[in-house]
Amino acid sequence: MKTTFPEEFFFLPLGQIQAKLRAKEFKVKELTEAWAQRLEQRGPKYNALAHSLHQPALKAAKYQDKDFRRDRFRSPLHGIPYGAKDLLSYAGHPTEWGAPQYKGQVFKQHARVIAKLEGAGANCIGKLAMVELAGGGGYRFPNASSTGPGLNPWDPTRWAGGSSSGSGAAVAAGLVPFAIGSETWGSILTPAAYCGVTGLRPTYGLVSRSGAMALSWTMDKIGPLCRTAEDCGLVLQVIAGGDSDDPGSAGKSFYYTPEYVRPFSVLRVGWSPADLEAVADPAARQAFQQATQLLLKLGFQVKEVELPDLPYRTVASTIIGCEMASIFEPLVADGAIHQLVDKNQAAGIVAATGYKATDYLKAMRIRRQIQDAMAKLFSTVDVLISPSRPGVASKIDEPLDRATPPNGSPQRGLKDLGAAGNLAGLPALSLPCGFAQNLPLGISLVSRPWEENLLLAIGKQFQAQTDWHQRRPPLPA
Amino acid sequence: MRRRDLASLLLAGLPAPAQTPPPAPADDLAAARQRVQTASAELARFAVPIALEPATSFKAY
Repeated sequence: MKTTFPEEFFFLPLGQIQAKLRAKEFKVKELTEAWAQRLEQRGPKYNALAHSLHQPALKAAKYQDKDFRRDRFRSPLHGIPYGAKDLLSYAGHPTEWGAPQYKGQVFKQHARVIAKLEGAGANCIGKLAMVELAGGGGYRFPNASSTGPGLNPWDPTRWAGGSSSGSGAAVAAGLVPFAIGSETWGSILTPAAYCGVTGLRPTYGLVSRSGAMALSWTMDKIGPLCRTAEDCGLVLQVIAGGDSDDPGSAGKSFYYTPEYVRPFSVLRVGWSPADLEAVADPAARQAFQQATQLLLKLGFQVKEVELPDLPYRTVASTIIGCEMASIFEPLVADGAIHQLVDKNQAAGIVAATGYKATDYLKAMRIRRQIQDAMAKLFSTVDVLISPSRPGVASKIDEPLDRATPPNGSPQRGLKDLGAAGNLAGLPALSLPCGFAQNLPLGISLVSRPWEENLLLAIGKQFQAQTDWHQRRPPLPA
Repeated sequence: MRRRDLASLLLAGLPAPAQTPPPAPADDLAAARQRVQTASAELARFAVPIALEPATSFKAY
């Protein structure tokens, strides 16, 4: 008899799905079929699906069922379907980077993260939509993608966030149990916050980028978007690890062991009241204040901090601009850059070819100072807490350069933590933390390099005391 | 463009449409170039110690 899965099943954490597989409540093939169909049917409603991988996933599922029949379990992800941002290559199938110029592009090999997930028995059921070329040129509208604007499952008149738009929307709508995204500057934390899911940006160099589209060699990171912090830990354990094919690889592995984190009573947490009073949107302040208070009550030593006065945003935009201009220089040279959907982004990439070498080197010198400043800050605290975004997702037709007006507050707080954390290569975890205007909000934890277990332990404890991560968006129309 | 479409255009004596889409509007490009110049000027104003080396061999921290 064919197994039917109730709606709530598609929102279970990974451990519960795999427990049912191990208990032989259903086969991997049935699970894969159900999820792949759901992604194919509902993904287009959010412009979240770039390419279905239904058939290769079913083929792999047949072999995995043989493993389960013999009680051979490869990993906590064995038999679990997932989706991957279309910036990651999947052998023999299109990888189009969200951009019209790369329509029909096919690679011979899987990206390293996809190969690692395949080795762990996870099944990629689809490539998920993204902002074209990961948005490095500075796009003006959310529709900057060959698949259309990423729509938010909580309200399709709102944006899903970018550039990992499809990854955020698909996890939020229960179209995949987890997804892989990437972040250069905000591309995991933003869709995680806007879509109400948990997103982990790993330390620079922890996850191989081999087979991924490069936007900025010194800032690109790959990480998971999941329902829970624990799921992020399980996925990171599989995808982390050294890779000689990635020059940025740190050669480190990751084992998800939140139980060995130091007691919360000896941990020092830094936060800034300015983030919640002046930087956050007025409608979101109450939810952020409640979430911050709950986090601070987990038993930490609490300290008010602010970032040193450094030009974080200018340095980040210059480094990304220069590296991006070099990467996409052939598109500029032959005029194909103008095929991009968002003309502002095309203009941004063309203009970025005008940076001087001394601009790049100056930015990289200041980056060294930013790294030193962050190391100094983290000698006084173990974790920083700050809103992932100042407010809720913007409207789909609203220009992004108007959606978040520059904050005029004289207090710096931690408002530039996104730029600072990415420049210093620091890990960050975005947790769903409440709602404003019936849309989700996210709060971020940032720590020293390689301290993902610390972030995940705090996230796990926070999610044990809240149910924001268990909320489900309305069914699509 | 298919060969058939091109032939019908030639027969009709009409100019063939451009094979590449139009570039970004000039004001978008001017604004983007202005942003690059502003960033460049801000970086130039920021003083750094002469011995400070760039983070070209990048590691976290």
